[in-house]
Amino acid sequence: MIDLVLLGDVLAGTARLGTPIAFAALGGVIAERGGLYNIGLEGQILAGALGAAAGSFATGSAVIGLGCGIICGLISGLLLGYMSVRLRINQLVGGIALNLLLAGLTAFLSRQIFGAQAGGARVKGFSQIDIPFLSDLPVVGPSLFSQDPLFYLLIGLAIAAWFWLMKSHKGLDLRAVGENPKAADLAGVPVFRMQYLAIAVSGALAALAGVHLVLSQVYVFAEGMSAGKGFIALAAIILGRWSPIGAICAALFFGFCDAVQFKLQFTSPEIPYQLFLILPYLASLIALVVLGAKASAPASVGLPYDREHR
Amino acid sequence: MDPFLKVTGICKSFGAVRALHNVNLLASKGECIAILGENGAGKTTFASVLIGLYQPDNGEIKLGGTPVSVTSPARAIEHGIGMIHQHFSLVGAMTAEENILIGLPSTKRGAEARARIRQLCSDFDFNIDFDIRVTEMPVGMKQRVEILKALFRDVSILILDEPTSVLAPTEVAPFLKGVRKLVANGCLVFFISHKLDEIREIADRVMIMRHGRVEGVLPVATTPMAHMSALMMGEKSTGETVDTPKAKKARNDTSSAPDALVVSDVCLTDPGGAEILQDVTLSVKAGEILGIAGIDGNGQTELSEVITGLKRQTSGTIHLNGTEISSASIASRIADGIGFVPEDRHAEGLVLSLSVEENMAFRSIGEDRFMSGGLISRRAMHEIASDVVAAFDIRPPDPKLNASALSGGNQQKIVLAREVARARNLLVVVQPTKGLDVGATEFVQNQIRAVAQSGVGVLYISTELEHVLDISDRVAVMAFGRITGVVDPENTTLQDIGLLMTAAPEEVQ
Repeated sequence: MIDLVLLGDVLAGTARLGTPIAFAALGGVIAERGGLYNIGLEGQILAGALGAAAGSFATGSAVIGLGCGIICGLISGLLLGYMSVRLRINQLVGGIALNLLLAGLTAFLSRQIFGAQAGGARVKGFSQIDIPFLSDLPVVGPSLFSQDPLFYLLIGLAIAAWFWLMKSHKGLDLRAVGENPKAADLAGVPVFRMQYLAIAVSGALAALAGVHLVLSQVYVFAEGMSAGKGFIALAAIILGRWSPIGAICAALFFGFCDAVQFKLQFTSPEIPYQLFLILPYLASLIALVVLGAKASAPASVGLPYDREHR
Repeated sequence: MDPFLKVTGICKSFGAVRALHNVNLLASKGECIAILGENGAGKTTFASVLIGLYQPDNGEIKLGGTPVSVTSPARAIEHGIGMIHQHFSLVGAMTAEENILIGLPSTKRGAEARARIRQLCSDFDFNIDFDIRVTEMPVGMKQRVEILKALFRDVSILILDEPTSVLAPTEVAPFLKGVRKLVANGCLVFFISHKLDEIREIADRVMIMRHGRVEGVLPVATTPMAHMSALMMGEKSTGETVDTPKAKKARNDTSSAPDALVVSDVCLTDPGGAEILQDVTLSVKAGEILGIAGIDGNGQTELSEVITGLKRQTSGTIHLNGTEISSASIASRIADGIGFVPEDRHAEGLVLSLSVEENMAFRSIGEDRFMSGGLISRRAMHEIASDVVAAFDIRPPDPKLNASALSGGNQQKIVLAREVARARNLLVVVQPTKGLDVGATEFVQNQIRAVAQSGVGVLYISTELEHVLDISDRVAVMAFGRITGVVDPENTTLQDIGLLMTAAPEEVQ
């Protein structure tokens, strides 16, 4: 019986720790399918987190916090889009610049907004929602069907994104842009508009990761609270083979590794905990080496499209 | 009545390069107009303006009497203008159907659309496999997908950019038949080409371009080919082409010359186990041009890569001037005086984002002539490149331009100039005239002859049989990774070579 409890704990931890990575990875998939690298995921998580904290702090409403977080993500996505699509600067450099900008800006703004309470301003967040009947199931019930609303939103968005990307006409157009923007352009696809759309949505999704951190996990904004999740999300994109569903699975796998290492820290106090901290990163490295080798990215990802290029 | 298409005063410059200068044209429906011109004459630029890829600096386009501004390819489609690019614009990872449907409004993508694609396909007798992805298709099929894509968009103006240059000889006739059908259905077809015989066969009128200007728009039926070619070449046609009687018969007697290159029993097996080269044995004497003929993909490219060190043979030996180089590095083969003009000048021959002078220097940058006090001398580089640009008539004559700004023929001249200078003992050229017009081809051939006359052995690999026969002292024919025969180009018939080229594997000893 004790093992079942442990399993339940790990599953619940997987969902909780994997959700932010999954949101960011989903955002990355949308951007890369449209031919743009979104290296700025990490910074956009922070933007979303700050937006959510500030919105909820000011109004006392978690839903308004959610809205503010999404808006921050959209703006940061459009900024990256402007750099990548319009200015055609190197997308890796642009993304790194955005990460640095947002890390500094969110730290600065959080002190402006929360003032003396910095680091301690608790905001109203979401509480868990029990899905009738399913949440009463043993083991999986409490861990998977008694989560916060953002977890259910994630599952819904992942399925919707998959359907849109793989089955809808506009999704086909976006994939064509990521594979061969010139071909898409000549076929009448508004390439630049599609790319702006993709990068804005990507920013909003990454922001949802930050929203989840603040409104569903710790109820407070902390500087640098993204803690590398945006970068693990980049690995999840590759591991998930640029598929929305695949990326979510990969992200949850990383969440699982994280949950396991937390458990191991408690159950084996004699082993230095730093060794366990390595686990998620080691798993992502191994998974990339073993499974990522054959993955093929959208053919034109990262290459700025210039119509008059000769 | 207003003409269907009226183009007035189109100008387009790229930086200092004038690509189009005051282009005017009137055209009506159901007409096939060939656009003839040398590489860099502005044919593709003109087409790109019509299709909305380039915005003209000046000028006006009228359709049915109404001025239209084609600001993007999407707008061009709205106006019924479509273009099929030389190198295609398809998404490799998608199927034919997905490629055709990209970018259309949702209302045109339902089940009827799929039915109509297949209907069009059978109307035009197109053989297209709808189950595979575009990357898996042979070139001819990709082209048919492109045409179908344009047809599905109900184009009334279709621009074909050198459509036959990528096709196998057997695919050309069915393709031209399809084009004729389009014209008969009332489509205005622009056919960009520099093959005069094709233009004769397909076009009603020919628009001849030179240096970005229209030299004339003439009816094909009543214009002698010589006149077309004279307009296309300008003053050159009375100069070079006539004065240099095909220098081919002025061959060196190389029978007593030493062997420059000896390839013995070379085999190459790819990681999948397929035998790419099987017991290839050949020799090239100093001052001799050995042609390698064969249908594309029979091991010719790999042979050139084995000789230059890009690929390592599975077994067999290679000797240069009597010294074994079978396992020598690429760098030491270059140092031994092997020059190499690769098949794909964009991917392997040039760094397109570097300037012409940098491209000419980069393989020899450590040599004294480019150095001054241990550092690169920009001035020496510029001076040496300027001389070569003048000697090879590379246009535009500015060595500081990026290689990407030049046309295909001029890019090939850069590679050739550089490699000829390096080839002290052996020059390996692969498809040197691919995509080049008549003038540039002649020039390239003459340069290669001059190299041979200076005592360098030349291995001339090409799928263009006429060129191989024209230039070579001896011709080896490859099929299925083997040399199926070596013939004297003066005492052989096309039929004989054709037989050697298609020798079925079991008939090859």
